[in-house]
Amino acid sequence: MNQPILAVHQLNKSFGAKQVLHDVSFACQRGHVIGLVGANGAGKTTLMKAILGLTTATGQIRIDGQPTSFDHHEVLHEVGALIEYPSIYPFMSGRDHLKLFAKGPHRRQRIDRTIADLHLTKYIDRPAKGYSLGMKQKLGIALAILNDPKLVVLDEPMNGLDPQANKELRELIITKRQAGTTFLISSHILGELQRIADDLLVIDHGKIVKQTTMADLLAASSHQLILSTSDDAMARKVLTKAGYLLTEDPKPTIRVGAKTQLEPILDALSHQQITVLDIQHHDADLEDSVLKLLAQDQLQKEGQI
Amino acid sequence: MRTLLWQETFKLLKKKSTYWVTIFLVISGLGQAFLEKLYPHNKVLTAPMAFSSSFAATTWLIFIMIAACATVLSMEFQYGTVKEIIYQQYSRSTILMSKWLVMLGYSIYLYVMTGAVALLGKVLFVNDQFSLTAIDPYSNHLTFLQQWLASMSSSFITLWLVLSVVFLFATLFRSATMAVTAGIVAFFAFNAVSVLMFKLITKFNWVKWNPFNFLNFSNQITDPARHALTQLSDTQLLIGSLAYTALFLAIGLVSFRRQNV
Ligand SMILES: Nc1ncnc2c1ncn2[C@@H]1O[C@H](COP(=O)(O)OP(=O)(O)OP(=O)(O)O)[C@@H](O)[C@H]1O
Ligand SMILES: [Mg+2]
Repeated sequence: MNQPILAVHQLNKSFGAKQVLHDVSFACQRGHVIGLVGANGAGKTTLMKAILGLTTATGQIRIDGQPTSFDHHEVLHEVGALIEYPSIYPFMSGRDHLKLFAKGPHRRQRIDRTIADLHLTKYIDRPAKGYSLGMKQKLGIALAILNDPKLVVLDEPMNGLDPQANKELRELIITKRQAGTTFLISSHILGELQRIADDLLVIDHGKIVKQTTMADLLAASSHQLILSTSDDAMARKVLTKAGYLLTEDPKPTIRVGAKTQLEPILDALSHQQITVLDIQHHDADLEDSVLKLLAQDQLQKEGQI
Repeated sequence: MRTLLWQETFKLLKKKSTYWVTIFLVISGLGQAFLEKLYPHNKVLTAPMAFSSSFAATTWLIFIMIAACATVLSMEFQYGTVKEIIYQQYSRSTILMSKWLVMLGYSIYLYVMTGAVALLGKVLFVNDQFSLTAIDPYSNHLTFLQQWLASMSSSFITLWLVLSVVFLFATLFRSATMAVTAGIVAFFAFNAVSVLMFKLITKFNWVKWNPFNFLNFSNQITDPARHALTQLSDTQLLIGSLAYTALFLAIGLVSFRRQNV
């Protein structure tokens, strides 16, 4: 039972002459939240659509061990999704939407629970044509999780959500993950992903350039010490001489590995009568790491040309 | 498939227009019958003639069903809900077929409903003007009742020939406007060009097999003289209509099965 909930192998997709996905392969472990990041037009939505059988693609996709494709996708009853923008029928209320797509036993209870989980009670019985963007988005998320799917695919789910709704969504995802649900989430809001994702897929120009766990990615990235001193120019000289790597910043920003000792730095500076006024730690976050990754990828590509 | 049929029915019943259509058809049917009562001696549209088309409901039905079939598919593209439907476990074929079936059920409902309204209108307003069991002097010795039933069932066949074109255009172009236009043109503009078509048929006999000629089925049933123009027997028209309906639906199905959304 330890097979991945989602396994994608050698997926290729072209729109006419333009190839959008290149040999995309990856696997998603059960009960993980997998973040999918990449620039606009990198192919995130296309990849999700291929997984959901919405668009044709060559290659193999297995969900819960069963092969699935454009033509045959019975296994998708284990999957919930929200792709791009929430799709609603303007002539129906939110509750009608949930009734329409609810399947299997205990529908009533699941509808009520989903409404409560996403705090939709206030407007769920109003016609959906009067919903704001965020309300529609929440309804879309409700439809995705309604049938307790094993895998939930969300394309930019934080779109249009207010801070409160954002927090509620994060908590909901964390609760569902603990219950064993797997999430594949694309987002441009990296700060949010950093807080919920276990694993990360970085996609650039239709290629997976990195598949890693969030912890590894963050650990591998650099830490910096930012010093304010009585004489910054002098401090730079002293520290450079002592063999520390400094950045271009006018402040003596020191780039260090995780285990650098603070004392030798302070000693070296006080030796030269430089007073240290302030020390700040700066850990690179997901945003820095991803931007660096994408920049590297860009450099490699240019090198090839 | 049962779930899909249920979903389609649910959506149809949630649309307000579904109810307005019924209300409108009841009022229009009874209103037409009442007019016949007010002007019993008019020669333009005698009461039996009006009755044979369920007091004009058959024509309204064509408009209504063209609009319903055009939107039932294209609204999914317009609202983007087609994604939500397709990523369920069902195949694209069953999705489209369940839409056909629900529309078939809807059209049958409308025929039965307007038929009942027509009978009611006859009994209420024009019962004294003709008897259902009397022979219609204009037709080939059918009673008014038989004439009415024949006209209803033949127009049902012709309606579905038109609707298959509407479905085809709705899948190909994903737009309700295109599909409605195709349906209206197929049915109404056809009357304008049919003179030309009949001329062509007398010149080249094989032209009689073109799909437009089969739109004459219900006309020929009520007016046997048309046979001279269509050059096809009633049975040929019936089978041809059904065959073309199946063909257009099948082309739409093949196209829908390949569409990326
Ligand atoms: N229907 C289509 N026809 C042609 N090209 C398309 C189509 N859909 C997407 N593309 C192209 O495929 C590429 C990937 O698009 P996709 O929507 O997957 O990007 P994305 O990663 O989701 O971007 P975003 O972050 O902006 O949502 C883009 O270059 C886009 O132009
Ligand atoms: Mg996208």
